[in-house]
Amino acid sequence: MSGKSASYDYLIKLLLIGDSGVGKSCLLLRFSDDSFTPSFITTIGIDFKIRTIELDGKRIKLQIWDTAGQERFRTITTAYYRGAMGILLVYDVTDERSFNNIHNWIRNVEQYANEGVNRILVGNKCDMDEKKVISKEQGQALAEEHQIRFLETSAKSNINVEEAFFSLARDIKKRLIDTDESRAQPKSGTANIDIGSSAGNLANPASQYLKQSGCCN
Amino acid sequence: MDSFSGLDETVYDCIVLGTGLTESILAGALARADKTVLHIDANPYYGAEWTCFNLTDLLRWYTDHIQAVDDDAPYYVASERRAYTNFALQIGPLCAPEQQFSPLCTALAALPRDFPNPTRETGIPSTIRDYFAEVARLALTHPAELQSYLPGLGPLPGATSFVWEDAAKTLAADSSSLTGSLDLALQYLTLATLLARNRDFNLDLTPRLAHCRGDLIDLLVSSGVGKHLEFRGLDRVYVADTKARRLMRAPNSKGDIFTSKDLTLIEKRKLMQCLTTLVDEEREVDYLADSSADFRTLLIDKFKLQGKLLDAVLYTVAIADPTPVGISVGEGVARLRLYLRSIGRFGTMALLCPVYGGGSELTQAFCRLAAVNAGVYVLDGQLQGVEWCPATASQIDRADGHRVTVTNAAGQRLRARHLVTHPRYLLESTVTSIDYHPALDHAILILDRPVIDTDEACLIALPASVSTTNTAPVYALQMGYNARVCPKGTCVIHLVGSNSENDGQTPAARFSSTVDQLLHYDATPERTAAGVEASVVEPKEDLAPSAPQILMALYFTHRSVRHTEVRPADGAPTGLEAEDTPCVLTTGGPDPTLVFDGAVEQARRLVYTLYPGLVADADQSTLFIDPMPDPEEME
Repeated sequence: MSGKSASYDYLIKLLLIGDSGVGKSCLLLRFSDDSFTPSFITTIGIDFKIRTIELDGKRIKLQIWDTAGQERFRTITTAYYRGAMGILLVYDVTDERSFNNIHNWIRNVEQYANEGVNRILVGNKCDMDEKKVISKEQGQALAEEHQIRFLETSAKSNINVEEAFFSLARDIKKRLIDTDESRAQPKSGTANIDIGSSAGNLANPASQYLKQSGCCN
Repeated sequence: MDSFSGLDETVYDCIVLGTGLTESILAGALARADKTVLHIDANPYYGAEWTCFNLTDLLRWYTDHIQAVDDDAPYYVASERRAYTNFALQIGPLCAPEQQFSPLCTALAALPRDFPNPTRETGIPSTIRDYFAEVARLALTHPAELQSYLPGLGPLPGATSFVWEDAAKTLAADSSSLTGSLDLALQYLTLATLLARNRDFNLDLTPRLAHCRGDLIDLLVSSGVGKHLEFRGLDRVYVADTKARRLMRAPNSKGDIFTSKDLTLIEKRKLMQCLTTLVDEEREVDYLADSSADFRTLLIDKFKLQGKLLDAVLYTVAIADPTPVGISVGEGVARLRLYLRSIGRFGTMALLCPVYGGGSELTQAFCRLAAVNAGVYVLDGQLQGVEWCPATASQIDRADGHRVTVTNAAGQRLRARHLVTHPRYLLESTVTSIDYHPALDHAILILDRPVIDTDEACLIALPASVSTTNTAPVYALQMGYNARVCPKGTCVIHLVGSNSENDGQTPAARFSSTVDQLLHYDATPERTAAGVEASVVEPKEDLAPSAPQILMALYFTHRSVRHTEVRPADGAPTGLEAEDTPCVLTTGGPDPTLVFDGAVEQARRLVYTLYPGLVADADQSTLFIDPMPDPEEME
């Protein structure tokens, strides 16, 4: 394990969104671990995955969040969207309903995600030619309607998976540098308290009151 | 919508009803320990009584609650409605609280759910007064949009030097639907202004804080759930000094007391003596033996505290409940020690304030933990009822071991070994007794500027003596943009006080003099030569121009359940056999403290009752949730 803070220039939080069974977790596992499991079991046990990539000489650490199965009954927590810089909207090219539902997912993104979040539309399972019901043109048209990028992918055959994540990361990096977000947002006062990383244990001043009494003179 | 499809195929270890903080922590703990969990809430959102709303959702919730419950509404809707009473809504600085705003409610009913912000422009003006100009400009550039949000709102006049009163007059004159009412026009305009930043509001129904070394933060750290939650340090804790009409800062350290210009030498000695004695866990003192005695009396009798000193210890360091009953010596000393012990863990503050609204983020974090560990989630889940079979294990005759059945609106039967439920989901006929926490009055004030001039969260204790209408202290929790509860330039103040039942007063009336006092404390912190903020905030001399104005205020009374006894199923013996785990456990709502820890303790007890092995340490004092493997380290 290498040193955390020194090993990347940008930390980018990405989300996967889309109906159950479109292959979100498969895309994630293909990208993060280069593995594929043809399983119909709803995702369990994956909170998020990490992969650090290099873009134009910069090391970008991607923190990619899965839906934890909460898309199944549309109970994705609003907190899931907090701080996300990029979102992969995924449908299954063999499942028309998952394609039609992209509209709903886009609405959700608009409601809960940060303004200006980068998005990419991904039509997964493009290896399954014989079962395909959503054409590349339909996907392209939907993407154009929402002015976002589009790719057809296959997690199983490892087609375009790298490209999808890389192009989203590239867009985000461009946005971060172009608008210089980190500097544009003035830090008002102190930062948030991150109780996770600074499980803090500064000197305990309760004992301050104990050390000596009669200090007031 | 077949939102339950497939859910009746499994027999769950536990069905959890309600997504309040207790239920969510429990669901997370069980799922993480590989128990199968089905977690359902009848609301379309997470958090139940702990939730937080954006502005339209809050107003929708209010509108729902002031209307009579439909006869055909499910039983749990009526029981939830009964928990909230005494509503009053005030919109616009010039308007008195009213029981109802029919025209506004009509307008609100027409709003889409999760009303979006109408613009995607950056750069929010720094004060709300500038913002009125922004609204006027917006109204000119997007007249159709604004009108569709608020039917009846006429075109706004355009001028760079926009004066909102003038605009309102023009509105009132122009729009036939407003029938010349200036008040109503002002209300619409104010509301339109606030709705323009609808999503920037995160308004808690149960605003609470966390001690840095309290049970909640300990659990968040040990379980790793806190990794993705954000907090702000709450450095500023004040108590109103009634006599001097000042706000005095809590004595967080010896240094605070030492350098205070507010205290005489004798007062400093008294305060030091009290704190050094009480914080010392080693010291055996006879008057601490009776832990059920009244803490306030102890402070007066043994430490000779009175006036502002008494208030400072009771309400800032010990954070006594905002109820007339007060707290016991045991509780008071424990809280005092927790407060002082908490300082230094993450910085100079003892308390943390969650970002984006507390209960909502916390419940969602624990629910996500459950979901990541195969917990199944259903929101907006409509039910017919809950039944359970005889409580003793020996009487289970079902092959699959289920003892509980929850029937949903579609008639599907969801089965589980255990049910943990908020009492609102229980039919009245299955409840033998129910008792409640002391009811709390709550006001959510949206102001055009903060009372204490900072974007950081502040806690202000207002002892009963501050107000002419209170018999117990009121806590004012000021939160601003840094806690992401409101747009920049505005400020949210939650008032929490006791509802002394039987006096017939509404929260709006009870809080009126408190609000008046509060708005007129000077908002400018003094700077000493050393650049250190003085501990004193002076009252304002000149009230009119600088006092914060109320843009919106919502008042209500909340009565939450403390404990429920359920009736055993027909044919079951009354009283459970000692060795059997009861199949139905009930949760309670938020307690009348200012912190989250009660919910953590309740979850711990419930988990312990169901699965004693999950509460790890020997004295079962700590709820343990095994942290998820860290992907950062697996990279």
